[in-house]
Amino acid sequence: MNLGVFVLRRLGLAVFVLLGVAVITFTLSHLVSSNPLVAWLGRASGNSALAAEYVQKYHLNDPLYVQFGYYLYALLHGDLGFSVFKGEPVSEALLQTLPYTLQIAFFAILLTLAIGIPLGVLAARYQHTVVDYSISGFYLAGIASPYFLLALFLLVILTYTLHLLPSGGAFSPGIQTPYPITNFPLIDSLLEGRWSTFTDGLAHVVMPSLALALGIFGYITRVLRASILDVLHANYIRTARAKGVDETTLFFRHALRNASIPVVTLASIVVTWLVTGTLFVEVIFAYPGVGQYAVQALSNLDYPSMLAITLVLAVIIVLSNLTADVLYAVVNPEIRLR
Amino acid sequence: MTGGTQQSKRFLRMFLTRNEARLGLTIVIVFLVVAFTVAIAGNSVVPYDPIQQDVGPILAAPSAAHLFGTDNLGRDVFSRIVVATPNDLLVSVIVISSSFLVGIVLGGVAGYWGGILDEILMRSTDVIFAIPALVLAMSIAVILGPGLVHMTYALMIIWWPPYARLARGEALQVSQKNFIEAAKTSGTKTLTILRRHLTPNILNAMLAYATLDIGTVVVVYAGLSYLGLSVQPPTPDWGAMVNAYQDYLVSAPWLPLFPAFIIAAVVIGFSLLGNALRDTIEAQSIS
Amino acid sequence: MGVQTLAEDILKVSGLSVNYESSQGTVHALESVSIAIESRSLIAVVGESGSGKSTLGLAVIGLLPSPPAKDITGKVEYKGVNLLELDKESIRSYRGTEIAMIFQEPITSLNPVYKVGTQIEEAIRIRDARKTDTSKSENPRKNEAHERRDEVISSLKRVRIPDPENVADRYPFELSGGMRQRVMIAMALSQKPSLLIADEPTTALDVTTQAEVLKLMRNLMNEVDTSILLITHDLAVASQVADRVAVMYGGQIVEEAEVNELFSQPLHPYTNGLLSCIPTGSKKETRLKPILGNVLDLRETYAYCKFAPRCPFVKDKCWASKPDLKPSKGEHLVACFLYE
Repeated sequence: MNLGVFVLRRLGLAVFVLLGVAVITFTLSHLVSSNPLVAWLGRASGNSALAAEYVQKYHLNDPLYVQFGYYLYALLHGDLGFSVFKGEPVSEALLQTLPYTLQIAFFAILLTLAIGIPLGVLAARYQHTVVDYSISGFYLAGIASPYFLLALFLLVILTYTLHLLPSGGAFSPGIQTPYPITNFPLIDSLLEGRWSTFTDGLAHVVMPSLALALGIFGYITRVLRASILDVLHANYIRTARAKGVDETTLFFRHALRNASIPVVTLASIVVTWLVTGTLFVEVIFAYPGVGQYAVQALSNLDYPSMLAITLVLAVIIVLSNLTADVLYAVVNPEIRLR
Repeated sequence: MTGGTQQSKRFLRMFLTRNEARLGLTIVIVFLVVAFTVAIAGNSVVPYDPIQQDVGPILAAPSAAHLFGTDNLGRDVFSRIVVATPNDLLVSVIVISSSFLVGIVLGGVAGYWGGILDEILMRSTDVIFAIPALVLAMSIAVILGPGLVHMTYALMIIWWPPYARLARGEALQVSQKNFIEAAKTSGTKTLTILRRHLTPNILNAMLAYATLDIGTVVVVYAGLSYLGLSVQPPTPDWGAMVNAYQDYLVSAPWLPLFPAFIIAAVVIGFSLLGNALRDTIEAQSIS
Repeated sequence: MGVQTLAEDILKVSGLSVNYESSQGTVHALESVSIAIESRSLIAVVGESGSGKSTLGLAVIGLLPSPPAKDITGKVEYKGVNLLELDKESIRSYRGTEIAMIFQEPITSLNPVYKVGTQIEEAIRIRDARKTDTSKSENPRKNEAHERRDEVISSLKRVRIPDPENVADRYPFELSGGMRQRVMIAMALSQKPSLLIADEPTTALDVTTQAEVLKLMRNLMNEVDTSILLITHDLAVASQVADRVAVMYGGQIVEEAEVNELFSQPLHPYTNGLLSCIPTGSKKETRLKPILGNVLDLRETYAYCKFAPRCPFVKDKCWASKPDLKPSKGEHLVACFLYE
């Protein structure tokens, strides 16, 4: 019943899961090659100085369980190996690219909600009419599209036909990039008062985010629609009417509040989609985020980067799921008892 | 059991009256037929050799001679798309089937017996869920190397958790029902109990999910193929084709868009089918 | 239609008919129902499922689901105003503060995501907003919120809920069935309605709690100056608290009398049958006595008495036309050709 206890328990579970993920990446790193150095340094394992350092620090000559212990130690200290094709430690590369991906994620979530929720409400309100069916058709097309289709589609229409938005990159050439304060370019440009940089950055982030949002909003619309219809028949709605509650308050305060509960459970699907889709969307729009980094690592067979990215993405997902679970408990008081 | 077959007939009737079902079934059947035909008869079913270059002018727009146009090497796009059909579909069917089986066994056992078996199952699925399927497949691909078979293995390894969870949920519910107690006290063997009571319930719930899920596998596989992790050129594969052609988005938009739309079409077909199945199952359980 | 009009009728229903549209045809749920309730009295409407009793309750408060309900004719006069002639907004202004309704399953009838105190407070706010019509806004000032909180607590006390401060902060799923029903009653009464319609309020409760809740409702009636229309399938429930009892069958009222009169001298064969269904537990009783025959199909219209197929006293006249609800002696009304 206590929200605090609930959060703590979920936190414990999250830690356990992350440990499990570390086990998996650790196993993978040892499947890459019989020489564990390859997983840390990739092609740089030839570099004798670096190699010696790593062998020493992480006891790469010791039995597996010892190595795992040091593996965890390394992770917690932010050492994720060295990326040859980037020419810098993986952690550095991640620090550079993660903010861009998070920017896309933020706007993607915003757009998903902005499109999905109103459409869900409309579809419920105009159930079984043309409006309802066209909304279904719309979101079905979105959900069914492979990650890259929507991106290409938007490119064709918004960029090449209507010339509304730029075709890629994070900023137009010639725009002054902001000085890194928070490392988030959009926030930094705002903080520094560089308005033109901000708007330019915004224009570049819209399409990748929209490409992602169009692919996932359908789940929210579908669930919300079904949920609203369900709730409107509930007995407590009848009670509220009997109390004399007006229709507007009835819909928003009573019905929607209950109807949105199932929608929160979609959070994990949404996050997974975002994380996966961003790989493709960033490649197509040449947006310098983790997705692009991952694909480059792939083609360069850069094991350290690949494994580190897998881990980091898992961390993001676990944390988002945790937040979603807590949000769910806030919104649905019955859950807190378990 | 005559009751069973009558129920199935009624189910089929209820199912087929739905528009979603008919549309979805049509689409799916078309693709399955194409896939089988190509798998059996090979390249002879298509008008042009899919990997032969210069069967027509380069980058020709769709016409009567070349339904989907030609690509930058003069290959007929339609033939390539058709020939690539078994890849996606075969991989999806195999992955889903294996996940289904593994899921039923693991989940059914864990849910029915509960206790530590259940805990182990739940925690391991938690961990696998934390890593997005595509990324995990990518990592496995990096280790094993690219190729259709390797991708299939990779997907099979990571795809079973939702099925195990579903099966476990159903098994849990059923195991607590009274008629199980009754069966146990009357001396029915555990295996018989499982077979007769557990499996039909689980099957229903998982079938609808599986059908919808085929679409997801298609999308993920297409994504992997797009990243170059599946069949290598010049063998045609939908995802890879989109990647190869996307530079021609402006000059010859049909090139990247046709394979992409075809992928979406397959997914839509299975989605409609799965939705209709799920709705019919719900409707039947109410009546 | 034969009902005595008393000067202090809170509610007077005349010739109310309601049809439902269903996938298998039009269902005649209520056929020309007339009933009146005096102020400060409790009238119980008793009937089996399908008799139309719930429809009657919903029709009075205007909550009939409008598809599938249609063809609502007749009069529902509350304090002289025919509610059936009012538009939606006007009817809403009656709900809660004039006519309140509580329902059968308190667990699904209370909003699961709000604390019960909050839900009662909402009822009070609506009442206050209506009193001072100028300030329809719901902006609570600090001491107003405090006052309302106090009133929530006292309304819970009034329904004899122990530890009301604690209970007010609970969610519905945290309370027992009996407590939830008390909360529903508290919520309804906090709006100070003149008429409370209670649709099977005790059906979902165990027998002991049932008796307590009924007694509570009876006592509160006088405390708060409310009349109660109690809908139930259980004669025993009616016998415990009602002043008058109306028996319904097939969408019509077949008998209506003062409670003791009905139980000691039932006139209609159906009432008779109902009463003999109740096992007395005496040694002489060897078998239970059911009412023979099948449940009525309300999709049909009948030109004859609906009970005729099951009536042990049926005559030719009963198949020829329908009996009206008429006084047989004094205020004992019955619709049966035995008494015409």
